Amino acid sequence: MMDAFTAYIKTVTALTIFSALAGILLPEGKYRRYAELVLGVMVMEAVLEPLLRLLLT
Amino acid sequence: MKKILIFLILILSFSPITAFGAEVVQQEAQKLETEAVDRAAKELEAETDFSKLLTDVLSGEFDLTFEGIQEKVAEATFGEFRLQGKLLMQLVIVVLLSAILKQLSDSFQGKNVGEMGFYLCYMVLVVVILSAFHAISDVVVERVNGINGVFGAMIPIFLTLLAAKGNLAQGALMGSAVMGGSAALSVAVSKIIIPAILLAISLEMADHISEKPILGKFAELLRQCISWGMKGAAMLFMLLLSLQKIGGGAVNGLAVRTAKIAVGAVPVVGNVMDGAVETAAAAAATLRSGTLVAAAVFLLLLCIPLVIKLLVIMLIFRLTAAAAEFVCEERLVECIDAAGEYTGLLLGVVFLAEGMFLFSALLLLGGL
Repeated sequence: MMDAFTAYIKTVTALTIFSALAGILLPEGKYRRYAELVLGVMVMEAVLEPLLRLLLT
Repeated sequence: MKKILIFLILILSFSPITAFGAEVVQQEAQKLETEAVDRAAKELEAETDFSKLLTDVLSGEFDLTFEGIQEKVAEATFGEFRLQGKLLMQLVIVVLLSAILKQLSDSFQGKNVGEMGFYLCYMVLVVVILSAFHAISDVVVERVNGINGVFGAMIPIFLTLLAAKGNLAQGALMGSAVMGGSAALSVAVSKIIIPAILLAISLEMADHISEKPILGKFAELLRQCISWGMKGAAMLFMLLLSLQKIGGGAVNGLAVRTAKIAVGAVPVVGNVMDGAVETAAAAAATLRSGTLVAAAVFLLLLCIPLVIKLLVIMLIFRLTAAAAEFVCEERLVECIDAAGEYTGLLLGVVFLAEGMFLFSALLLLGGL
């Protein structure tokens, strides 16, 4: 159980770092907002994944 | 005839013989197996010896003055500050570098140069904080396991004294509960709580990278869950032990009382022998109280250096964050402050373990 929790937190942390770095590297433009939205949804999905799995099974 | 008898009794009553009660208690104390505790304490490089401490407490030579403690704590604190000076220097250098880069970046047209400078400082800061944190959490795990070993070596002594009081039912119930509880606590600390704290702090560090908070609330939730988990475990352990103490109390002292009644029923010399049983019970009670004091003081002495270390590190993080608030980027300040909060959580872990051991010793030896 501890291994599963560790893997979950590592996934979330990696996605957070990825979103932050992607947000830095994205050029200023009209598509930046949409890219940030997609990154945000990805992070949200990673955080809620265990709950969603519990609800849907 | 009667006058001679009265005269003889008067002469005898004026020539008292000293009863060596203290020696009896000391002799009984030597029969307790304190060498196992000394061996376990040697692994922790403890300064004091449990056998000597027990002897001092029982003979009344143990001196616990406020000035003595104050001096030792002050000495340990200043020593720890000197040892952790390297961490403080690293944090201050990173903060100063970040402040200089922030000022320089304002003079550049593009925001990106400043951002790059910030991320460079941030990476260095995260490495400094996480390496210090890993080191201190290893020390915490090692210390808690060591104190668990010492407490495990003390349990047979506690159970012997509990049985000497006549609390055989309680000793049987609580002995296994205490042993299981302390082992479970040691495993929980090293395999669940400390890794969870390390994961939580990594998440917190990752969250502070970007200006907009990504997972700040999630990291806070994780920290709260760890805190509640520790409090819940502490309450559960205390409840379990307290219930067993109350439950086993129904047949408390039965053996001693039975012995006293049986011995008192012997004709002619019954009253004198009854007194001997009382003296034995009183000697056992003295030994029990002395052992409780010695055990409590010893357990506290074992954990105080670690508590001082954690307090000093927490103070360093919090002070640096407070000092850097004006010059530095807000994210860096929040990162350093978060490190201080998590060090506080580690301190909570040490208090949890120490509190459990002290409470168990108190329940086993003190009270009813």
